[in-house]
Parts: sequence; C-alpha cells; structure tokens
Amino acid sequence: MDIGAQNILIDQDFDFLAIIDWEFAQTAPWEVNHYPMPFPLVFADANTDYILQNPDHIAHHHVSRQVAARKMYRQKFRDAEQALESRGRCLQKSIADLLDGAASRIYAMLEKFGVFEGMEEELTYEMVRLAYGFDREEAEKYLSEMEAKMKGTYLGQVCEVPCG
Amino acid sequence: MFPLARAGRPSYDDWDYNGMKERLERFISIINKSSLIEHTQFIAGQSVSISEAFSAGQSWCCFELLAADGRLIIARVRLPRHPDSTDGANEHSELYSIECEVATMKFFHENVTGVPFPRLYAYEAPGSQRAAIVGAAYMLIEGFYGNTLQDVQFNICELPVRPSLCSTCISFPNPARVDLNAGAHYHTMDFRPNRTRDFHISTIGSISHFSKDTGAIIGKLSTAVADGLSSDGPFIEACDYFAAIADAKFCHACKNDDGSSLFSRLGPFIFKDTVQNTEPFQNWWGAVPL
Repeated sequence: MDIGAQNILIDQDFDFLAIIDWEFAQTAPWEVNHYPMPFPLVFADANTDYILQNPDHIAHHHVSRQVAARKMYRQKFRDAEQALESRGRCLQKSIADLLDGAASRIYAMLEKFGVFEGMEEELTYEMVRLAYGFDREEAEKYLSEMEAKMKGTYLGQVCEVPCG
Repeated sequence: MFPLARAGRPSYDDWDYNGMKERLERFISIINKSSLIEHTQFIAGQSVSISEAFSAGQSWCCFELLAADGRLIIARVRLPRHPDSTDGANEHSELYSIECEVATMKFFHENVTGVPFPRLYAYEAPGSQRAAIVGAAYMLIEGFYGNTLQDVQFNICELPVRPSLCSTCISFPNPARVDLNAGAHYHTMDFRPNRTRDFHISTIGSISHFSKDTGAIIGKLSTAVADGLSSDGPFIEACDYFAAIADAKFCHACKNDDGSSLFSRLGPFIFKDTVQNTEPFQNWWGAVPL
C-alpha cells in the first residue's frame, strides 16, 4: 500500500490522470483504512476536545484544521458510497463508518510505532482505552500484566534478537 | 508523466547524495536508449523520440518517449540495487514486487474501469533478451501529460478549494478515489455507469499472477520481506495478517531498543494479543469474507 500524493498524477485542474506505482499494492482487511497524515486520528478524543474548546491553546488552530480535514475526508467517502448505492452497488463495509471505529483507529496507532518517536506510551494507553474501555487505573493494571507476559513468553519466539 | 529534470537536459543535481549521483551516471552511460526507442516504436507503430532528461527514484529511472501523434510512453528502467540499501529487501524480493506490479496492472487492464492507471505495454524481466540489450530490466507504460500531486502541491492541506467544497478550508481533489487499494478487496470506485464490476478477493496478499484463464492469483505480500514480516502470507484470516504486522513492529523495536522505551515493544505486543485473543476484537476486525 503505497498510495499517496507522490503516486497520483493530476492535470492542471487537479483532476486525477492516473494512479502509478503498483509495486506494493495488496488486498487488505477493511480496517486498515484510516485517516492519513497529516491529519491522523491517533490521539485521545478527550485531548482533542479540550484543545478545540480552548481557542488560546497553542495547538488550537492546527487541531481545528485536522478535525475539519477528517470530516471532509470521511464525507467524501460517504458521498462516493452513496453514489455507488444509488446505482445498486454497495460496499461490504462502509469506509466512512469504519474510519471512526476502534479497529481502524487502533491499527492507525500501531502504524505510528517507530514513526512518532517518543509517543509510544500515549499511543499504547489510547489503544488499550479503545480496545477495552479501560480507565487509567485499569489500563495500568492490564499493561503491567502484559509486560510480564511479554517478558515471560516472548523471548526469541518471533525475533532473532532477545526481546522483553 | 514523471517529473523530469528541468531545462530538458540530464541533471544529477537532485541526486547528489549517498552515492546516488555516481550510481546514476554509471547507469545512464550503459543504458542502450536506441533499443528502448526501437522497442517503443514497434509497440506504438510510429516513430518516437526519447527524452534526454530522466527522473529517478531509489529503484527506477524513467525516460519519456514521445510518439509522432503526441502520445507519451514511459520507459521505466530498473536501477541496480543500491549497495547501501538498508531495508530488508533483497534482489529476489524486489523481483517479486516487480512481478506483482506487472500482474496487478494486467489485472486492472482486464477488469478495472473506475480507477485511472497507466497501461502496461511491455515488461522485459531481468534475463530477457531485450533487457540484456538495453542493459537493465524495464517496462514500457502509458505516459500522461501531468504531474504528481505531491510535486504540484506538497502540502495537501493547501490545495485549492473548489466552489462545491467551500464549507471548510481544506480540500482534496476527488478524494473518494484516493484509497482505492486499501480496502479488503480491489473495490473500485467506479464512476462510469454501465461498466461496473466488483472484485471480491478473499485472501490478503498481492496479485502475483494474472491471466484471463486463471484470473488474479493472490500470492505472498510484495512488501513482506522489505517490511520484515514474520510471515509472507497470503493470509486467510485478517487477525493473522495483523499479527504479522505487529510482530514486525515488535521486532523492529527490539532491534533498535536503547532501553529507553518499554512502550515501543509493549504497544505492538498488546496489539497482537488483543487481535488474537479477544473475542470482541475478532468480531470487530471481521474475517475477510470468503
């Protein structure tokens, strides 16, 4: 999956001429569809809401633009899906729906590991919150159990180098 | 089609990093352009001229061939592997990725109408007679009079707003067509009435072979080796695919671990555990329909 602005050919009116570079094309589960950079949905809703409600927050302008971009991104999928539906063709799953779903959001977070360096802890807690609905205390308990499990069972099972 | 060097002459200025310039100079000096012209003329059935300028990435070097009737054809010529390549790919896996691209383009040509893509005129694999004469493996594909969106506007949040989209400050050109290969299937957003087909491919992988007789064969993932996946696929179950990605992230974190971040390992570990072992989660992901 290598689709992006670098692989979309356009004319002077920004209409698409061709999608190029299919070397890394693949089939994939629906849930890999997620909001792309530069407006990923990987941070806690509470943080986003807080920033949106505080116009003086240093990130207010930026986050507002990201929220608007996500809304438009989703709406365009919705429009396209409705256009298909009006012709008697339905996708098995609605991409517009799943973009805000937990699975798509958690997958987007996994993708950011090794990319958003220094944010791994925040991403991990948000993954756990979305997957299980845990509050902070429950998440800490779960994470400490999983840490023990990781150290106890994972050594060398997957990687050539010791982990844990 | 591809952004060629400005001013219509070869320029290595943009590639003067990490040995790319010398690598390209050597490459350009051995490529037999007249053989590329000859092959293209044979396909186009008319005379063509080849550009002096070229564009090059890490893997391909592209020349424009202009036919007498104005059609553009792109010669996409494979660069030798960079000696300092740091990704996990190797010559074998790169060749497989090229074969997948060829098969995917053939599949599209026969089946897809809603997604614009370049037509593949020829592919000369390593070892073919024509590739040997030209000096490298290559493809001849359809060219377009345009440029990449990234080159026209690097920041997609700064795209011009069309009147119909004025409700917000940010716009995308026809974004519904953007994510066309990221669904569970090669679902095409087909906007042309009367030419509608859906493709339900039940396994997760890359199209490794296509012919009219066999249809699309889904093989292992073309990115598996480069991404360091623990399993190449193809995958029947979505959770196995997700687990392989999580493993790769986990191993990558282990190999690069400086002891500072427990979470760089714990995050992928939890992702895998959750996908594999949690009942509600499996329902959320859903298996790819067979």
